[in-house]
Amino acid sequence: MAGKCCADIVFCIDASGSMEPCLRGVCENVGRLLEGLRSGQQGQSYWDVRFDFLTFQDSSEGVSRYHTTGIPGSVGVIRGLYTEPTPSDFFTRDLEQFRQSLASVSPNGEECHLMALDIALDFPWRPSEECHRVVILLSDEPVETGVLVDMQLPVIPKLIEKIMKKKVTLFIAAPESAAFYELAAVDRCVYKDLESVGDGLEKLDFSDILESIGKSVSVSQFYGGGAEEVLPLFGQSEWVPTQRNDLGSDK
Amino acid sequence: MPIQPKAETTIPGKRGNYLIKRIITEGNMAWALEAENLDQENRKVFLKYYKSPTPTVSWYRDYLRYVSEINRRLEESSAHQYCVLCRDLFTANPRPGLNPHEYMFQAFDFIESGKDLRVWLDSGINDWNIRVDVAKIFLVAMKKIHEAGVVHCDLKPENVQLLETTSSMGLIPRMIDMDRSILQDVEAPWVQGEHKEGYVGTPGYFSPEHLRGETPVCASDVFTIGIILCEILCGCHPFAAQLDDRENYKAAVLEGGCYGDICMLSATLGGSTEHAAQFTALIERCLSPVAESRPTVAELHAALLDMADEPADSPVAEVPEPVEEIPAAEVPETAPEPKPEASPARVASTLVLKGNNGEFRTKIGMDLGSKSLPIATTEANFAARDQFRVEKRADGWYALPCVGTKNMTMLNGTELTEARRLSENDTLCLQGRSSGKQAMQLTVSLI
Repeated sequence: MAGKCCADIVFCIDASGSMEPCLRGVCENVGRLLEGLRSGQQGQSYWDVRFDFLTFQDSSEGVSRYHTTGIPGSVGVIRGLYTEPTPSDFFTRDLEQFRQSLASVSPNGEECHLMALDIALDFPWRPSEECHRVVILLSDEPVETGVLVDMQLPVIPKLIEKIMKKKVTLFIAAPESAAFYELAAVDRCVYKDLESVGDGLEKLDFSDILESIGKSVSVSQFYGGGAEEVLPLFGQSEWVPTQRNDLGSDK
Repeated sequence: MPIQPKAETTIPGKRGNYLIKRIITEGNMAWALEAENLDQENRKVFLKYYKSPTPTVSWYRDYLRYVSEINRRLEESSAHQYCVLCRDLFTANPRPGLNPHEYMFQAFDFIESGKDLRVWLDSGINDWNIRVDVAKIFLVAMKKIHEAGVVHCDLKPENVQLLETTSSMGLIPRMIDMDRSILQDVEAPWVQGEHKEGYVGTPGYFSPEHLRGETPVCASDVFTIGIILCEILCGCHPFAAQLDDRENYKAAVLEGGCYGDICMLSATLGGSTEHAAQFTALIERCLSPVAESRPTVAELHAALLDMADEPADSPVAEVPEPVEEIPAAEVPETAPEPKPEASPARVASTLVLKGNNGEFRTKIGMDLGSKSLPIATTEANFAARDQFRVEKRADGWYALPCVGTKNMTMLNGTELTEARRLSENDTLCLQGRSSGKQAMQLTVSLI
């Protein structure tokens, strides 16, 4: 018997070309988890969950495309988070909207994991004292084989501090990667390398994530408070739309 | 961000290499793993692999020292009988190669036949006496932990393991999840420094001190004990109506209230109305928002013993010799053995077996072996699960052999082949049938 738990969850999903075989499976499994939460299956009826996704598709030239549940294009995502914040455009409780939006994403391009992770961390979370914040990063490629690697790797220490400061629980399911192992020092988070996952991303079961974070918690996590600030590590507030792609942004 | 553990991975510890067999469960702070100590004859252990704290946290090293001190206090005090003890605390790299970080691990004794108090509560036991007995043994365990200078801080039914024994009572409590417990006289490292956190607890079981952001004290445990006693003896949570809304829960806890209606529910479980009235007074003290108004666990235990000893209008089985500080095994669930009309000499109430690791105490007859004797000796692994039996008879304590054991049980140097009465300073040990080697020496004390 325990009190009702709140969680905001962002699925930060690699939507590059190589993800095509498993992206639909991921969609279905994410949907199943959320359906379970809403219907009270898995003993999780006490969860008050908001959810969103951030898919990322990048090119080595510095063009990136992002989608969320409510914003089908990078311009809106970056503007809504950094230049003209519109918190109401993020997070939903509407599972059907979530599913439809995610299903509409066409896999394409390469991946720039840590930049996307940084953006996901800046989503308009509910206060950390009110709810658990969870980012689930899913990819079939290590950071090292993505694009803009030299730009990403030096940021890892700051990213670690940012995750801890924002009290986000980070869950990564991705292949073995030195960068992900480096991130492995973040407190209270989990890195499942795909070798451990076994059946691959499309079969990955997320239900245990929420089950585990609903157990013993720090009272400050449950009742405490903390300052909130948006801390873009890649200069997102300076990014501009590109004409090369309606959904892209030049960096 | 620790790496998901994998079965069949070997983790090097201080006291052996641990082979992970399976993930038992995953919590907010750690994974619970079943593992084998490859350097101690594949002895099964309960291995905790910590997600928090990790080396990036500013108080990580201080935390390792703090937990070591908690473990030391529990192990060196009589609380050791009531906790699942840590046998090895170490840091290790679970995935050498690309991974550069070491994480924290603790290896605990593996509880083979235990179930937690939540499972026990959910099983719907409707024997009042058994409920009272479980409440008493839980209080004994908590009393010992407080005497050791430790505040549990995260009490909940899931953290009370009930270990099944072959004794007539059948259950012994073992407290678990004490890695965010606090020392009564030393501030916890995680409430200090750059990455400070609050005290740990569980929604629905937070004490007023937790909720006010104060340092939990023994009285904070007592508050939560009050909640758990309601669950055991009344069948319901005293704040059940507020559990869906944490602000409502917080308001109800900090406001205090009357719990008479809840306590009267004990009558529906077999308690008498007289007991319910006494119980109401106790619970209302436990659940006071003012820490100083709450009883100590020792007072609570004594009060419960008084209540249990004098059944009023319900058919409560007699609880024999309610002596304080007794483990579960000392309170039979069924009627006690008949006592002689007049005993010519007083029989010692407690049999103590002293070994190289501490003491094993019992007040009732039971089979002893590899599962029960690690409390007293580090060589219990040489014993069979049921190596020998001890019995309290009209004229004293007796040791009896169990059949089919690999090694012989020796009493004062001769094989135990029949029931033999025990005396002060007798020695019990094991001897290989072919090798002749001896191990697991235990000295008898009768008190």
